[in-house]
Amino acid sequence: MIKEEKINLKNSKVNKETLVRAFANLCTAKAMTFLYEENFKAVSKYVHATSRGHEVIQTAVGMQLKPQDYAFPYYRDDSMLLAIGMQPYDLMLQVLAKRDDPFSGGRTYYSHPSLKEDDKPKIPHQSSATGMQAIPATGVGLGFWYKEAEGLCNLDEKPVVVCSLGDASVTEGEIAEAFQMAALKQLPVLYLVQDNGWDISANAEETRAQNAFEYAKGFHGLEAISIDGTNFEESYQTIQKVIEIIRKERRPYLVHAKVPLLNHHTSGVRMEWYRDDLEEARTQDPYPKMQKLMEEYGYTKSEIQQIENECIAKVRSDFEKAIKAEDPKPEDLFTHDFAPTSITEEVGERSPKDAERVVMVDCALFAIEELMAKHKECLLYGQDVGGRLGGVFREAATLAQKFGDNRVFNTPIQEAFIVGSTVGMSAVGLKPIVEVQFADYIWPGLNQLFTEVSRSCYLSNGKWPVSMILRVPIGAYGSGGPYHSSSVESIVTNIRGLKIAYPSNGADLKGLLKAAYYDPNPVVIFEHKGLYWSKVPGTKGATSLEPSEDYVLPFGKAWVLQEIWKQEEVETLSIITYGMGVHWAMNASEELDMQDRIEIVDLRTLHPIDWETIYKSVKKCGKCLIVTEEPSENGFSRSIQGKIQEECFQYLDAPVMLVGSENMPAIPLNSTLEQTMIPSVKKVKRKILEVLNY
Amino acid sequence: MPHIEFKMPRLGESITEATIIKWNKAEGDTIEVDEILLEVATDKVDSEVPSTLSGTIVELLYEPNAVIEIGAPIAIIDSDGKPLEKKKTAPSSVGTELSRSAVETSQKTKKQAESVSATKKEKPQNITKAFQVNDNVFISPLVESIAKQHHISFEELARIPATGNEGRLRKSDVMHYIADGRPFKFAQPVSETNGFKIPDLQFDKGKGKIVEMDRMRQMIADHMVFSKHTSPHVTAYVEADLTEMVNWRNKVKVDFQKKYHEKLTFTPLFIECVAKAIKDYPMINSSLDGKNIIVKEAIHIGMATALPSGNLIVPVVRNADKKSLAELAITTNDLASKARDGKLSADETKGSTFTISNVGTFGSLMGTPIINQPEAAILATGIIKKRAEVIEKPEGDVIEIRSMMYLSLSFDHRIVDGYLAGSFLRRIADEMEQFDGNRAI
Repeated sequence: MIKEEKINLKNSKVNKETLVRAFANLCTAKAMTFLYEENFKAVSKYVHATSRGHEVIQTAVGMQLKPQDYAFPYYRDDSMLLAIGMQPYDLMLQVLAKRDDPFSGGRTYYSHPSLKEDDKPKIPHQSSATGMQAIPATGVGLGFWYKEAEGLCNLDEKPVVVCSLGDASVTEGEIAEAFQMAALKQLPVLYLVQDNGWDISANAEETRAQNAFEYAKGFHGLEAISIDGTNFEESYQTIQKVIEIIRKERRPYLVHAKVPLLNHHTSGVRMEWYRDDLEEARTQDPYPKMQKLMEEYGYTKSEIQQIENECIAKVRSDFEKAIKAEDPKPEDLFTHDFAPTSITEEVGERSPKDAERVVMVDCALFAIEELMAKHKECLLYGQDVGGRLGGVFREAATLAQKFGDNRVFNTPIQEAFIVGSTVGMSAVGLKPIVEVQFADYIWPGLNQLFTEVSRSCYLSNGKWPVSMILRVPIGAYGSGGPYHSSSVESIVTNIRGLKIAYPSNGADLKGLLKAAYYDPNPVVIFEHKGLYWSKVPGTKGATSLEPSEDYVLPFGKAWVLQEIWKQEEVETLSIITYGMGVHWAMNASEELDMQDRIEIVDLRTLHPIDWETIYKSVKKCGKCLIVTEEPSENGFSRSIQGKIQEECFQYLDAPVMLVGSENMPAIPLNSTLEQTMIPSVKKVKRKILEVLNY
Repeated sequence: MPHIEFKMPRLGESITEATIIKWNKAEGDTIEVDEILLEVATDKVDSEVPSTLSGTIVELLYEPNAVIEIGAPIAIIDSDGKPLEKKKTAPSSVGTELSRSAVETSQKTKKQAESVSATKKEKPQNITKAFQVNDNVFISPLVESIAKQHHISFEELARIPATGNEGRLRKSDVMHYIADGRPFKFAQPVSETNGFKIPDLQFDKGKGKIVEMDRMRQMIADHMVFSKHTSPHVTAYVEADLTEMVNWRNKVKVDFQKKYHEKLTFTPLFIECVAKAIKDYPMINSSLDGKNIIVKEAIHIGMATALPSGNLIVPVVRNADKKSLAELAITTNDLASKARDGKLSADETKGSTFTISNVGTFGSLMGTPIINQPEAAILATGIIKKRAEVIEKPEGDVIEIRSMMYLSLSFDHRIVDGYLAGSFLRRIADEMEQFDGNRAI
């Protein structure tokens, strides 16, 4: 199935015009490095790295990318950015963190591009954490694969995606997940690995058993080639050939390019302190090699000098201009945390007359089924969601049969890929719905959720919001034990840039899933396993008449599901809760026969959170209890408690209290221990009386 | 007429029993509503229990010192059919029901639910009209807002029967209290133990001129209140025969003026005597610092001086025991004139260790001065007045016209006892009486 074809360059020549453009690109990048060193004080206020030594391979790649292509350059790739058509002025606005920095508006470091211009390759946002871009980039490849398979791509010349990596980042575990998927699904990804032999001060000998070229050999279906990244003819022609293969054959390729690092690792360290190979590295400088090549192609020394002088002059005048550019204003901090969503009102029929009463898990299933039937961009993947099983909770049952194995498929056990690939999928216009099997297994995916997914919109200054849904089955019930029971909402609510829902019933889940789908931002939906089939006693309230197809429930609107009048001569209480807590609270108030004295507010979404409704309820009732399934300390609920006392202090007749799980490291397997650990109706009742009697 | 059981009333949250201290009525006595029937003790407070009925006492069921459960019958009253008029409602039983149900949650879900809903409808027991002051009242932000809105003082809040845990006042308590017509409105603080009540005095501003206190006046006021609060004052009195001193002064005052260009007043003469007495009784020259008494080495005498503004200032004669009479005269005259002109420096009014106030200047016979803190005592000298005195002589008693003066010493009883104060005061008088009439100037 996979063709192995040695690339034969046959010593062919490159086009003269190409060579001159490439030489000018190198001279420009080199002039920028020198200028930054010359103006170290002004420029190094903000940390930066330059491509000195790596210019030739980067130029060779950048010059050959087309507007339909996607690129994930990393932070040493300023030559690549110049080669795709960015001006020195553009890059300098970023090194000086100026307001008009075209990538991030002064929010992120030099050479951390994110670009969405019609005439240039697309550059989705990627974090500064080395190697972390491999999964989002491979996600773009997965997106191409999906669109081509489903007939959503009608380009004559198919796109490629370039993932640029330093060899030292290839040791990261997530690289393996990316390579695995690219090789498995035969994704059109070019992994460009620039190998300068150094981490910061640790060298190749200390940090790796093999280089990226050798490593790639372990991934069946990932072809690799190793080249001299300072030789322009070799670099340009190899990349040309590789891109051609990827465009036509739709398979991944790894190019390992050896280069010297001739500038500092970044402006934050000085190479003279620790580099023991500087002499040798300088003998590999691509600049004199390029001068020599120009001469071989018939250019005189003065012509060559003339080209370089023009580049230097351009760099200098751009710098003069960039220095004078406007800085961001304080108010610029507050834009683009989220892209605006069209879903702001509850629309459609929540409880249609002749609708069937269905369990919560089916509400989710029907929501996704309706979305997939309507939108080809919608696809679902995760562990065991494919046709054979349809999800360990049957939450995706029958979907693969209905929509095919391209749209609903199993992934390997790799949560980082499941989460992070959505950045790439979203960047090519798809709407991925993914899931981790249990909240307990969200941890390997958290890195991607935090570094790539949550910050993409903000750090790209609004250009690349990630539209995705991450479903997370959560919560304890029926002796799930320490690795199938945990609650994690405090961890996730601590990541800014995500929208987070935690519904307590099927109708809410369906309406919120629909809102999440149409939201251009990343959404995490916590779905309580104990509510999926209402198997936990007293959770029949989680079942719903199935809402109509057009039913949507906007985020940030809490539900006062038990509302009371303001009463002066009796003690009243507002319970603020979500998820399973809603059921505990409802049962507790019923068993105490206090439905007319206890108001219950179901938050429905944890971010955005509906403060207005919370404050209104607390001010009316005078007393407040927060109910959560998480351990009581240091959590999301504690922060709500604090905020309520800050905002409602003068209306409070007692401290805002909280009931949650015990503060132990895990939810034990044994049912007695489990019940002792987590809250219950009985525990909530006791706390209600404690607050009321305070 | 019905015989009605009088039960031990509710005395507060968490109080389950009380001890009878004494009966204020005997069997056969008649009693009116609100009349005190008995006194009881609990682990929190002692209280008087007023009757809620009027009639004749048929039987007292327990002797003093008996421990009785709340709600148990303690007396039988033959009611004349005028039970205490029922007030609308009081919240007290709600809280109890709730806390009880908290303990019993699991077993009796159904039953307890009934009890909670029942208490909501049933009007709870009346507020006992004899209120108790809740020493530990907790005023939540919400209760504070309600209080502000209804102009309820903290004193009043402290009397509202509180049904929250640990005696905390809850919103519903306050709202019930308001609905009940605020029975304790405008009441004044009262000492619990002796039942004495401050009358409900209202401050009538009248129509007089308003004089704003200047800074000095305020400081004097603060100082006086502080001194009275801090030191238990006791005042001792003696009289002294100043005839020799008065005669001598009359004899030398013109020469003195010529020699020193200073008037000779009684002030330096008194200071001289006081300084000598202090040397004999150094404990008078002291201050109290927490648990230590500091006996001062130097003797600096403060002389209370009236200012033209009506205020009072105390300039200080430093090291009075080491100054000659002439020096004392110069110093006192200087300080007095500076005081009148408002030219005293800060140093000149600081550091006195004992103070003299000459109330005789204003014609007063004697005074009970307030100690100039942090000193231990203060001397007031009265007017020098000629009186017929019986003088004991070897040849027999005779009546003579003598110049007499009363001296009073207020002392801080924490430091100084009557023996020391009396001896010291007598010594001053002796010094004055034994004045050498032939003394040179």
